[in-house]
Amino acid sequence: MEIVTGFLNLLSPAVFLSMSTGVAWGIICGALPGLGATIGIALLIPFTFTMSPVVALPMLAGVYAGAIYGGGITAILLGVPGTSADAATVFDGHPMAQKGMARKALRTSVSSSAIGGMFAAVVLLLLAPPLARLSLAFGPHEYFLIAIFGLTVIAAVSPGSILKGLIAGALGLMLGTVGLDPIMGEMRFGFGYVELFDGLPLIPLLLGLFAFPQCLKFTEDLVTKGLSQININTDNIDTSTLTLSDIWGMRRTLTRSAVIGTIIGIIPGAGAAIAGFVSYAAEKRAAKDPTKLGTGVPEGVAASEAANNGVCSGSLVPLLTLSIPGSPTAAVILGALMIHGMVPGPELFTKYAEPTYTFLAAGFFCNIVMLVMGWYGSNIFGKIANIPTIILAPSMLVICFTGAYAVRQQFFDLGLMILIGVVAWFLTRYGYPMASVLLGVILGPISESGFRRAMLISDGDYTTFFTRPLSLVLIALTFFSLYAGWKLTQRMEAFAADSLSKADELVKKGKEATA
Amino acid sequence: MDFVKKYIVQVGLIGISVLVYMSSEELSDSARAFPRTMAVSLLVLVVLLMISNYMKQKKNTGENSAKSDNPGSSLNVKTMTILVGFIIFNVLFVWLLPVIGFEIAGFLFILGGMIMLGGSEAKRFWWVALVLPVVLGVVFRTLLDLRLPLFPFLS
Repeated sequence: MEIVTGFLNLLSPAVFLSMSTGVAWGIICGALPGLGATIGIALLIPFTFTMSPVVALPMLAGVYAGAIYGGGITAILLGVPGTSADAATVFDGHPMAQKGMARKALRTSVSSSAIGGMFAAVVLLLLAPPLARLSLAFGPHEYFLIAIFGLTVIAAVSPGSILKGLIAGALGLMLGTVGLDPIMGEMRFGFGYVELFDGLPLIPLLLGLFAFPQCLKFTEDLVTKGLSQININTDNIDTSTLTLSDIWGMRRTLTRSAVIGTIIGIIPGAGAAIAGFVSYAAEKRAAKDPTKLGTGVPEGVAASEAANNGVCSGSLVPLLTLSIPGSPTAAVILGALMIHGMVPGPELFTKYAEPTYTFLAAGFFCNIVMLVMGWYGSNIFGKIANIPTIILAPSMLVICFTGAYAVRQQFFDLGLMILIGVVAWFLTRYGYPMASVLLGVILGPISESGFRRAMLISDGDYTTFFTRPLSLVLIALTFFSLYAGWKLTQRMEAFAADSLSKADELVKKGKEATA
Repeated sequence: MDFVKKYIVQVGLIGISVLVYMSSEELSDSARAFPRTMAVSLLVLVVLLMISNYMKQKKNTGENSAKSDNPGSSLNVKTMTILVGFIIFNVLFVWLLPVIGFEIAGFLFILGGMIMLGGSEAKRFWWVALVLPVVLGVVFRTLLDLRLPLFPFLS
């Protein structure tokens, strides 16, 4: 019944408008290299603060889907993916554009994205409610362990080093202890600031961790690389188009890629970029003539785009059911849910059933809105990607300041955002993932109260965590994710070393040729 | 000095964990247990990272590996100066906000920021500095019913 209410809510003009705005904003953020879904959602959260969750959450669902698709626009037109999720789209999308089939590539991209996204949304609708009931079996031990598992998952996929991911997570957990102690009500690490009584405010924290460092990165790039501007000319775009029979001809590719994307999305930590590549590789294996892939065929674009949009709803399965965000974007969505007073788990489908099902329904319908917008307006969105950085950086900062101030009307929050932003920029430069810090701050109070309640029950006996079957499963999963992350880091290092040696060889050959 | 430059983040993180551990002294046993556990965990992880970096460097002793472990150390003085200036500019905006109101402060901030980053190129986009703060002001005050600082003569 709640599902029907969720779908019916989308007919309300306010909800529909917010979802459509979210999709448009998402496409813009996706198309602008450097922004993407995570920053797009972080920038939009302050605007949703006073809205009811029924109106606000569809907007965020729209941004997520729109941004993943939007990255494909620059990947096709420019050969530069707007987000890492669209990296595999470049292989065939850009050659298609070079062959004079840009419009067909863009339409293949949006229709595949929509099909992948809708398939994953149906899976989310079917899987999330029964899985959320599983968390009813959780006690304080499991709540502590699930937080640790969530952190190791994010740390495991952080680029560079798993240790840096864990360090960022521990830092986040420490920052999460600022404010009133959840059990005794004692003030901790407030340094006399009453503004910190409720802990670190989430909106300035989100903006400080993600949006502010990106503005500094834009500034840094401007100083080091000079004035640069993307130049996409969409005025004389070709007239090639995509027909229904073309889509029907790609049905196997689309189905396979949507399934791959959804499954990879459900696995915490894997992410949209991996889904795009795995699906592209699967397409290459399944293709009658694999040599054609990479030369500019629509199947290549469809494989990558259907899979990466399938990840959007897929990654919300572990988030909404077990509070485990499988990607940085999902971690920001977790923050948004918390801001609206919604804690992932069974309550989402009972106490907050209406906003939750509206969110899930929006996850399906925003793909249709995206399809319409992308089909007719991808050249307009392509033009938006031309916005120069000298406008982008200060404008984004003003939006950040407005958002950080408006919610609590405290100038303290602005100072805090700058401080967090500068530290985050510095840490990001050294390879520490900010998604782990955010997750630590969000999961900190949950894990702490779980930890302390477990200690109270067991009279301070640490072995209590090894006496419950569910706890043991979570401990095993934590170690497994650490092992998987370590293996991943090793592979990445080997890949980097291989690339470096190849580059050295090329330089040597070049020198020899010159000599 | 070279050690500090190479391990500046790790040293900072160790400092944070020690600070948290020390300042939790005045808390009750129950309230300080978790932050202290996290502070110790952070310390252990940072030490592990330092050992791992040291081992890697010893193994490779190549220029490339040292560079990849310290990507942040590549900032030159000019970039650093402009970035620090830009951050101070942000602080100035926050300081000016209650004095001159959101719209004017926003206009000055965007215009100033564009000039700082793009020089004369900013002239072409002066209208962005004018339009964006006004639009944001209208959206937040009228549509979202949230307050933003007004110019003192208007409030």
